[in-house]
Amino acid sequence: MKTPRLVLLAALLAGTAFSIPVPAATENWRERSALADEITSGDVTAEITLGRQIAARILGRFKAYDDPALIKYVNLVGLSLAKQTNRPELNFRFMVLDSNEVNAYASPGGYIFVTSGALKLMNDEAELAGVLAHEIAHITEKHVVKELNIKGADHAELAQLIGASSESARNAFVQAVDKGLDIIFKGEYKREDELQSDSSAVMLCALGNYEMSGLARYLDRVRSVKGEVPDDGQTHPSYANRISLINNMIGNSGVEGKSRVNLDRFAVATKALKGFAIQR
Amino acid sequence: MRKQIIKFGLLVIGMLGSSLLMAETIYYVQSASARILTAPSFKSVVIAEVMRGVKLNGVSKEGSWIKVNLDGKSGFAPSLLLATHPPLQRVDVVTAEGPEIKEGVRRRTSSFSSAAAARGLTKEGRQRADVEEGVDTQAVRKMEALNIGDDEVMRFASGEQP
Repeated sequence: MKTPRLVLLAALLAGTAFSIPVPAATENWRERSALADEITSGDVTAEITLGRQIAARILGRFKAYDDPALIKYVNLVGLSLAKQTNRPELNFRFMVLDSNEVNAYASPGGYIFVTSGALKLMNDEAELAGVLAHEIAHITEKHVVKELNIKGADHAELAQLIGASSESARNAFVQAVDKGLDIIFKGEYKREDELQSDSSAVMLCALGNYEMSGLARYLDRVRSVKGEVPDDGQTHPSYANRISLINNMIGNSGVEGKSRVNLDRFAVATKALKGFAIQR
Repeated sequence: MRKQIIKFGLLVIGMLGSSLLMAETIYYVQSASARILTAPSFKSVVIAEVMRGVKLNGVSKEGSWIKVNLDGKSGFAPSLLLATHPPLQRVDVVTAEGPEIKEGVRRRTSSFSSAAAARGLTKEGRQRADVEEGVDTQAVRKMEALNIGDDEVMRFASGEQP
């Protein structure tokens, strides 16, 4: 008679262990990272609307580079990577910004930018693929969207903001755009976001048959131009740490050496850019 | 009594274990196709290739890989290619554009007001206001206008010169 009671009690305890509710709001990155994994088409529309406005601000700050052939080439590299991701609902779009700054930006919804200064610093297509893959990962992992929703709201809040017509809702949306721009321009991504984007970029390059070390080679060159980023273990990871993470991933993958860099194709596409100085 | 405590402990562990085993997560392939490999490494053997929308039982996560069950076999798929919801239809940018938002987002919060300064503007006036306030929606539309088909992307990915 005792055994059934024991079974019942044990079952109850085991069940309880898996039904403890997870807090909706958290500062913990791991928990935050799971917040927006379930999406509806309404969420996607909201994400694109937000990203589109941020993109308009980026293009208000930098002019688009006037070279249709180069822009098409960058789009082809980006799209060949984006088709390997888990966001088939997004149209990824890529633009070259006419700026000697060495940088790349990702706005939610699929808008990705790389400066002409960054392209000048690259040596081959695998490096471009690495940079674009890093930016694609910021979008597929919804880093900006999740960061904006962190204050206790679930991911439906953004959709509610966009659907609303009141002035307070519009103000809130403007604030979301401002905050999104700060994250993108001031590099306010979480440390974990940056490292996750690096590791996803390496995977994405492998899936696209690109040499996986392209991003590491580019980051090493950026470090020599801009200088090392101090790493306090809390905010931004240093270039050294990022490069080390990438090299560890490559070491475990076993595919390095079999993939492509497309040196010639890159040289032809970026011919007009070479010879101009970059901003250090 | 001691035996009973041990028995009880074993029961709890056993049930927790079985709960874990049952706690499989359903994943759906989101990319056009995904290869299932014998180990979480690109150098391992491909055991299957599955198409977008195929449902997989996820057993555990190992770094950037998900261990999945497929037709009685277990294998690994890159987590980048999977999501816990069925693939969504592509969302057209036109559906994501609303007049309220275009009006509301023009000014930064610090300068935003309900004054109807931006309302009632002609298309040209609106474009001019956009430029003055550092918003270039025309350039975004130009960016969106570039349409490259999947076939061309596939040919490029296979090494063709654009």
